[in-house]
Amino acid sequence: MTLKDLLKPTPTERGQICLCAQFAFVRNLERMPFPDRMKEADRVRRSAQIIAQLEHLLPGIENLTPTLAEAQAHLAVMLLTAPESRLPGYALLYLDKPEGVDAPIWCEVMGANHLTFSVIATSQQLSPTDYDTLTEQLQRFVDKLEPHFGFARTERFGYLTRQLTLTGSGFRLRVWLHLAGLMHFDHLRELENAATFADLRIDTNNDVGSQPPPGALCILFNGRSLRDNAVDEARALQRFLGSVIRQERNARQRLLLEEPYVLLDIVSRLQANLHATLMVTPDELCDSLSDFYLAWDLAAITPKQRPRLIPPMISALMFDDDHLSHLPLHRLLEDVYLPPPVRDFPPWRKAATRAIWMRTFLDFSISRSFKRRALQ
Amino acid sequence: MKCELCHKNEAETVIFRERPGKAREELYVCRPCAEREEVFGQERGIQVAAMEVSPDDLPPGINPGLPPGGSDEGWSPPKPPPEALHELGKMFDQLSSLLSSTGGNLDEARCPKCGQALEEIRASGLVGCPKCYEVFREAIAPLLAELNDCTTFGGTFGVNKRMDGQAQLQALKRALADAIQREDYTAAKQLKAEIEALKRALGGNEQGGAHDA
Repeated sequence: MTLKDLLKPTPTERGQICLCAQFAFVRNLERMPFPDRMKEADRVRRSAQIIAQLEHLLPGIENLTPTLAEAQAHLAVMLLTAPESRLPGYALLYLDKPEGVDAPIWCEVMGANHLTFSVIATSQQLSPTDYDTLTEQLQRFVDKLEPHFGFARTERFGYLTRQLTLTGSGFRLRVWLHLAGLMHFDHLRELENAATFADLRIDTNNDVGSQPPPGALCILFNGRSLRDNAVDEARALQRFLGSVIRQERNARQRLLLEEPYVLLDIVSRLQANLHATLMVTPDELCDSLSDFYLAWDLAAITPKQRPRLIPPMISALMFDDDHLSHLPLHRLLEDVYLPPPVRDFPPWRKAATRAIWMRTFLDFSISRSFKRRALQ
Repeated sequence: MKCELCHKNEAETVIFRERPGKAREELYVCRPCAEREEVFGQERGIQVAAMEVSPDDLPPGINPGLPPGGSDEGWSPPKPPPEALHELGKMFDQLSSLLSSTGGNLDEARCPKCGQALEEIRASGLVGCPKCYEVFREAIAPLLAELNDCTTFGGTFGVNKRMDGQAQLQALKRALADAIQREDYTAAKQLKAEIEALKRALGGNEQGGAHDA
């Protein structure tokens, strides 16, 4: 598996509510401070030892650290430790579907903790009904490494982690949800209440009840790690998620059937924005993407680009100019389409590049049958 | 104390919640959560009793542990079980030893391994090293309780802790024999590969490695 293979664009599908999920098991070694409390020389030395041991135990594991800048364009790397938080000694390793695990594993050394094993899967790669199975597989994989490393743990507190919120099972499952329908009917606050009641958490990157989250993007995750095993936590989240998906689908259908004129207004505004806007903020881009995917799911619009060019929504929502700036298309967009004053002033360059990117990928036509029905 | 529902705001009041088929529970919550539970709880079949005043609002001399709506006549607080008293004693011992090492200021206590202060752990929710969990265990337990509604790990460990090389080899060989007997040849193949890898590792390092500090 080369870096080029990793960065190959993948086709997207309409109607995704669960955009992607991240499964992470965090482990630390005994009798060693956590990475940010270690001396730099110790951290670098220990990191090299851990990497050597992982390479010995897991043939086929690849060290992506030398190519991290390019790998940053991959969705999974975007969701792992941010570049500004990486300390000297940080390493990222990749293991392509080891035996017993149905997904590739990303292993971070000396991130926030000594070892973090993550699986990141889009909804096309993994159905929400299989979250508990994958959790079990990943846990078995991590457990097999324990005799070789000696993970810090106590009977009372379970696996010891830097973050108190992870102490116990050391497991975090995060699911990115596109909840445009529930947001439209102002049900996100209710959803947050229901999640709290189910011992889960919803992060909207915004205060629910004040402003709606950009792009109607919410992150659902297990808020507790001390009480249960990881698989039990995954099952509880999976059950709740099923209910959320049903409610979101109902909300979208309700929008289409009961408020078609409102939906037509949404797509008309989106179309006008695409053609007229010269500069776009990140939040505006997220909102445009959200409207685009919602309308596409409800067959209110037809994208003009071939489906394979439309990036998966999750990576588009995490569109970051700095991380993508090395890509040839991105440079082309900047060089060809931007006048020099805009190109030379970074805030304008970023805002203008987003607008060009948006026009390139999100152009569409409004469905005639939908328009007819909405105007009746 | 943080609200037991949202875990963000400070608890300002207490509500009593009865879920169908479950015992009545007492929750210390912030006002927005209390109001939300009262309004939306009914849709989930949950009865929320009238909001009580916060214990801090009670006039002096009134026992905050009173049962709701009850009087203190003929009532005395329940006695804690013996094991709870034992745990309490251990907690006081640990706290007093920390206090004596810091001249009486617990928040200034530092982990001898990494130097992290208890005050920093409380403020950030981030711990410095595994030793901090041992040194500050009685102070960390309430922090974990706020996050998890419990203070003890309720899950299980998949494997035993790190064994020395030879013991590990023997354990793997026993597991291999067991897998062959069960005719689980997939597991047997994996175990065989692990045995070979461990033999190579032990062959290169005579100590067979307990992990050094």
